[in-house]
Amino acid sequence: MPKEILIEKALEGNQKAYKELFDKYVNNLYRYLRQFSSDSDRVQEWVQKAFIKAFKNLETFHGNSSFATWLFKIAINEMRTDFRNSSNKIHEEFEENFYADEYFTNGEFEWQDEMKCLLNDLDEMKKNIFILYEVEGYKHNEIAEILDISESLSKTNLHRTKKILQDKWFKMRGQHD
Amino acid sequence: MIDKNKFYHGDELPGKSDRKKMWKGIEDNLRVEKKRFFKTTLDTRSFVYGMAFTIIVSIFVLAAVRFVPGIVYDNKSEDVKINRAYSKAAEELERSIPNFISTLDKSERTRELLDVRLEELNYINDAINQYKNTLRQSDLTKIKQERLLELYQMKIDAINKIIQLKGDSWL
Repeated sequence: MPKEILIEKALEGNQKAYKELFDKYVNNLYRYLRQFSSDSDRVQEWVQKAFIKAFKNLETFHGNSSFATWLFKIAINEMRTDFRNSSNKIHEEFEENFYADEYFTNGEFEWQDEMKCLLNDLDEMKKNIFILYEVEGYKHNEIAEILDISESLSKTNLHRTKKILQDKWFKMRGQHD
Repeated sequence: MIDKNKFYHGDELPGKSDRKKMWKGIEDNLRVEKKRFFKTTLDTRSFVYGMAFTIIVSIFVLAAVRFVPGIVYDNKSEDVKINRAYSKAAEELERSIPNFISTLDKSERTRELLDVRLEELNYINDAINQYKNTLRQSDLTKIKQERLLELYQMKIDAINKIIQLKGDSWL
């Protein structure tokens, strides 16, 4: 059933429709949030809270963005709230130390699987932007809406993140060579 | 763009039991919300409907209090209407007595006659009040209404006699 119909039925209180929406989006949402915590219980809680909040506020979803965008936004907010409440600060990267022009120019960024572990060293904002853009395929205007930032900040952060990743990866390779 | 299947690992997906667990948590929460919705919204609705009903009933009661006596009165027998008219007339006349008395001469004869007439009036008023107390509003028995009418007529006669004292005093 198309998601628009599901949302309509869900708005009418049809629990089966809720379940279908949940089934449709849970995997994507879960594995995205899983990048921010290895604690699966914690991630499950974020997912649960996100869906509960989404269903409670379904009438405020006007279709200006996609349902997935809206759901991701709610979920990331839940995650951030949880981090704030638990004073869990993700390690902030001092990017100046890793900035290396000679390793990276625009458009040359190449993802390497080993880079994934390097992502965990980045702050939550950069990580979010990178995954949303490079993996989930969101555009900068959508990322801006999800993360409640400006489009230009999204672009700048992405650019910086790629530089950092590239530089760290080269350094890591250099150590192993 | 990075291939999702390359970026995400298989173990980063929720298992069947994880999904079931998450859905149960969501479902339970929705159930609570439904109950709360019914309790809160229905309570609120009940309150609003109750208030609306009270207001409508109050309007009807006010209208009934305002208009029904008139309607009931209009439907009462002629005897009752006449009695009421006599009662009103007698009260009007009685209200004018104090001022009238002040215009009478102060001779002893006049005063004696006035005392008698006033005593007679009081006696008739007592009789009327006693009779009205025993007579219920809904009691429209013809005989009782006629008796009351007689009493009002006697009252007016008594007042007339007081008024006539002015004429006598000129004698």
